[in-house]
Amino acid sequence: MRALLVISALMAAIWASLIALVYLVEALIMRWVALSLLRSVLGMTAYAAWVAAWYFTLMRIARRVLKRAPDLSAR
Amino acid sequence: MVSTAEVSLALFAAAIAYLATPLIARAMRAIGHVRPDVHKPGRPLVPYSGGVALYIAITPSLLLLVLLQPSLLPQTTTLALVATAAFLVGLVDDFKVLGGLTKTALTLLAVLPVVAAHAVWPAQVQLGRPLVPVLGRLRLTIIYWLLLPLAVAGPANVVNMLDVFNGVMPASTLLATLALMISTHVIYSDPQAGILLAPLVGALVGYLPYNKWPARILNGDSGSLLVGAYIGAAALLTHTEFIAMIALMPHILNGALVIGSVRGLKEHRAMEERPVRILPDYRLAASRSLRAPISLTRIILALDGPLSEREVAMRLVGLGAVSSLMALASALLVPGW
Repeated sequence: MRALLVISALMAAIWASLIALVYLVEALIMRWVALSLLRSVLGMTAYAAWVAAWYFTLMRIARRVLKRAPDLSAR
Repeated sequence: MVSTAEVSLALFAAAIAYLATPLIARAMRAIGHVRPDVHKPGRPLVPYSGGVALYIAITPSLLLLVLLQPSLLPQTTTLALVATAAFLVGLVDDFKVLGGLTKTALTLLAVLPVVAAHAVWPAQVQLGRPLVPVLGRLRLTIIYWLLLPLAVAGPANVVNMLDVFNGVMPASTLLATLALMISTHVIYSDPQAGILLAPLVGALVGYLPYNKWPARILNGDSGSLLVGAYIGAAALLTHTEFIAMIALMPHILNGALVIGSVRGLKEHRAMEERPVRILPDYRLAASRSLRAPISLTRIILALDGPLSEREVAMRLVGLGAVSSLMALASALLVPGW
């Protein structure tokens, strides 16, 4: 059941950070940047940075978990 | 609350799926369209392309929906065309294996009926106005249209990538579809808001008993691509793209991990190593190879040790339940409008 807890916690963190990001993009970029094209570029950059940050975090966590997994070849 | 029309439609689809699936399984076995169930002792041959039964259940249900509510003709036509396109791509792949890139490119085209419907019926099929928690309805222009091709191909392919164990695809997507259906009720306060999702809910309910462990039919890409594409298109039509994305989070995480670790879109048969090893007692263990793809299943096995196929499937469906609850929470956070 450890897997269910760990992955659920990760999903909850991703979900909460996405809601926070959507709010921040709307509150900061959409409200205060007047030029439409610049708003789009900044908004896309923010979302791309969020995706990249989570992607590298997940890959790092996954590699660490896999490294610690018991080696069954000796059994 | 859920309307009588929604329940009737779901029951209709469930009855067709429940009756059609064994017939399809028999027909597939008769023509030799079977695949080994690799996680079982003796690798028994199981009928393939269960998606045919799902398609047979969904299309007449969509036709019935038009008869019940003629005003939904644009949305229903769109869903039927998207489902047909994804189903055909999957069916071709089931019989003649397509490359990973080809399959993805073909599923990208499945969004075209949505775009066409938006052009023909702009009042009924509105795009670019997704509902998000806290803020409500966004008015997106450039970003939305840039990401639109992924709105159908994305769910279709990630659902396909997590279709690895008996019962996982129909069970996890049933939870996601139910979450989406309830979310539309929460958001729109309309007793028939979720009616577009009722055919899929019913079809999955009627089909699941045959695909659950030990499976009597395997879904094939015809099943997983069809279901994923339907969810994506329904989310576009109901402006619940954000909520669908949350409901499918285990599928999306798995897709990102696999694509990232193999550095590209590869058909699973083309991968040199498997992420999971089958032990002599048929329990599953995480691969120790550095070259093996990283998948959600591999991480589950690394955290919880060797497990039976059924135990892994239960954990994957459990993650689907958690993400579906988060999707519902997202719907509750969408301000009333």
